Amino acid sequence: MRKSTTPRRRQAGVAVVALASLLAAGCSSAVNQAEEATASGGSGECQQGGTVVAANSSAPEVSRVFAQSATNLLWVRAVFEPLINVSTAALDDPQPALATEWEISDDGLSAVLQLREGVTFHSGRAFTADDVVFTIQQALDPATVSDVKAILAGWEVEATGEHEVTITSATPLTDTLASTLALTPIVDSESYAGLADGSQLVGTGPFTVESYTPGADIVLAKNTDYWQDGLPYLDRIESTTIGDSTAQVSSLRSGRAQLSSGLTVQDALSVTEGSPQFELLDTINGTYPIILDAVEDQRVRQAIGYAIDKDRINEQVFGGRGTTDGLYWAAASDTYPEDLAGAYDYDPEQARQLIEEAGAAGTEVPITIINLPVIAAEYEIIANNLTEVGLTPSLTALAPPDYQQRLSAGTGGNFLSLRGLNGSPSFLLQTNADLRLEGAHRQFDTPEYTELATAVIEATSPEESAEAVYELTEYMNEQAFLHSLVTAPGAAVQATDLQDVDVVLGGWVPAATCYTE
Amino acid sequence: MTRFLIRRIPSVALVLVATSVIAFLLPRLVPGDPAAVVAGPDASAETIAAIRTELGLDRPLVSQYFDWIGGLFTGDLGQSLRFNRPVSELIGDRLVSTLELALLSGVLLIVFGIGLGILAGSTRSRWARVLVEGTNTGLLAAPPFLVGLLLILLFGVAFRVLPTSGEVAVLDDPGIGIQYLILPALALALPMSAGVARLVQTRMLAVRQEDFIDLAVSKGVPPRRIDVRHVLRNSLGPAVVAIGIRFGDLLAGAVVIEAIFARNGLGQLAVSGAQSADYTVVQVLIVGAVFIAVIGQLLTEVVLAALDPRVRLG
Repeated sequence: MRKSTTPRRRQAGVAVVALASLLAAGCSSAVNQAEEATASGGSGECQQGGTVVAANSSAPEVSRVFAQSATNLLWVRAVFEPLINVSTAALDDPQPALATEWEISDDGLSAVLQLREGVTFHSGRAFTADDVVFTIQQALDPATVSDVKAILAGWEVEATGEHEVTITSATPLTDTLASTLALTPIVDSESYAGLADGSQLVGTGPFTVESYTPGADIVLAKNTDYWQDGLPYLDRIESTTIGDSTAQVSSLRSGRAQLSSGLTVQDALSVTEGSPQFELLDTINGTYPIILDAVEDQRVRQAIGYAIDKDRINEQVFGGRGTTDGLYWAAASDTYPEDLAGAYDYDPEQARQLIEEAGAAGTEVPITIINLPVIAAEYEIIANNLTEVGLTPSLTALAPPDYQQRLSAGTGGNFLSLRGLNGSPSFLLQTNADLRLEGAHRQFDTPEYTELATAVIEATSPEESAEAVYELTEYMNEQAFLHSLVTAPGAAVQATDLQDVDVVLGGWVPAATCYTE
Repeated sequence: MTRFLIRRIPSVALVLVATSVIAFLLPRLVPGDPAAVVAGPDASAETIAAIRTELGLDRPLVSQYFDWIGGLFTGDLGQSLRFNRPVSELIGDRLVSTLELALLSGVLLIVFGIGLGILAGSTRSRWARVLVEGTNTGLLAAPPFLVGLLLILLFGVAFRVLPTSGEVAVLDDPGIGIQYLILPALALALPMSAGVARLVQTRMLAVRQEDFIDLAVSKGVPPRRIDVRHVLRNSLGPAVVAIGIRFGDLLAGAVVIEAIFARNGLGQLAVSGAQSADYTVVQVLIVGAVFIAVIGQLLTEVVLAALDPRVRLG
């Protein structure tokens, strides 16, 4: 019996070794396969070809192509192009996309745009002015999600030539035209019905949709008929969903992903600090304000502004990548009132004094937040700060569906918010739910605010606009119904051998992105 | 066995009907509006109302429930509120991923669970037993996400021999697909196998003290035959029950493991569905999970009856 077991054991041993060898041989192929899909690079000229795996923390939402959405950041501008591109770092320097040039009338109430000729949709159909008219009509549909619907509602868009469009508006276009068009990418009238469920995603962009798995990924292939000669460089983009931040880090470090968005700031910093392989990528600028609708006494609202240590929030929550000027406006805007920045710099003594004057020591300050890690971390510091000056903060953390429902219903309260800074003050005053005059989520509303905000919206010259913004900002600082705490770019990481990863309103424009030789 | 299965039909049907009502109501009782999620953070109340109407959420609950149940009988699982796609399509896209993970994990759970249990329950060497029990205790204390992270650090970062992120379907490319599956399956199976191993070990040690084992020894039955035919066979009952229960846990554990290894399976669909109040997806997944658990229990009883002649199905 014993003699017979020895060969069996040997056979088993050989089988185990063989299996392990097979696995080892096979294993290298799986890892190598992923690495070979991307082209290796260094510093030098752009090379044609290669695949980028772009990981995003939230799944693509094809029904939201007309919105600035983190979910679509890494694919939508590869497929759907707007007339004008605007970068959040240079809001007043719009760049031509499907429109080659545009001219705004002296009164600001009309604009004529010349459209690019020789552009075709992925279906092969030529792009014309009628597509612009169709796109604006669809964006205005009540059930369409569009960030700029309020502005578009005041527009009349007419095709005044095969490649010319004329827009007339009820309010001046001077400060709003570029951002509005940048957030309204052109869709194809023939396949528009398929956009709702993602069965047909047809645009004019540098990449065509090869496959779309709802909730998981979108795979894009190079558009060989793209209107820009020699572009795009990349052959393929795989925009995949990796919800967990740690898993995103793992996908970067293991070489699977070359671009990653939506991971926590701490994880982004841990991957990039001291790394020759990865670097931080700034995406869309957002502002993180606190809205104080449930604090009636103006002095207490001001005290809260002084009490919150914005620099600490910036350092601890945003890794020091943000700014804490206390203004709601983008510093990249021409009308930014620099003199009024820092009105509520951290001053706990001043806060205590104001609270004492108001007789509000111990007053409860209920704060509602959306249950996201960044906002929760922000709240922890705010709660600590408010307690230090003698107030009593309390927390209501809500899941996104509940939070958004409550805010849109205008039920008021104090809440921590997160908004994109996608345009000039005039643009924000018409589109941003914290600021706009109609359908706002905030409850603070006075005739003075309406008058000053209207003056900004109706300003036609840069001087007039700057003056109106200054006056409105002074009033907002005085009333303190909201405090912008930190303005920071979205956290993203890119591989250093990727070049020209340009992010504009709407998302990453991958036409010029390439691996370097 | 057929009679046993037929007799179980009414209770299974009752469980599924009750589950369908709970699965339908539960997500809707949680505060929040899926239309608000679809509309986005800056949306006005008017846009949200228009989307709610388009999604059919303004219809009475009873009507929504019976439409859904009616659809189930015709194979229509409903339409995802968030993705505007048939729920069956969303599930179909991910089913293979989760099944691959669950099946390989199930196999590893059985192999490691019973294997470690037999080693711990039969080894005579003190040091070998200490080693096996130490391993077992370590695995028992380590949750799947921790094992997963350790495996990623070891095989994905320190020694890049196996992929740690993403997936390739085994049916599309067996050679590559299995490599993507190994680490997540191990992460899921190893901690659970420790519990099964402990059951097998304890039971084996207890069975060894039984009189019929002494009788077999006195009759001169070879030790290996006693181990396999008498001790092991009589020790597997509790392990089979545990594996049956653990199979449900495998699906639950897949939620975490899929997140860590960036696999887009049913677990991730359930999480994103719950986060975005995609009721129609969540309710189907709940009913599906209960259905699988019920089938698992039935199978466990059948296997138990096959192992132990004293257990009769009926």
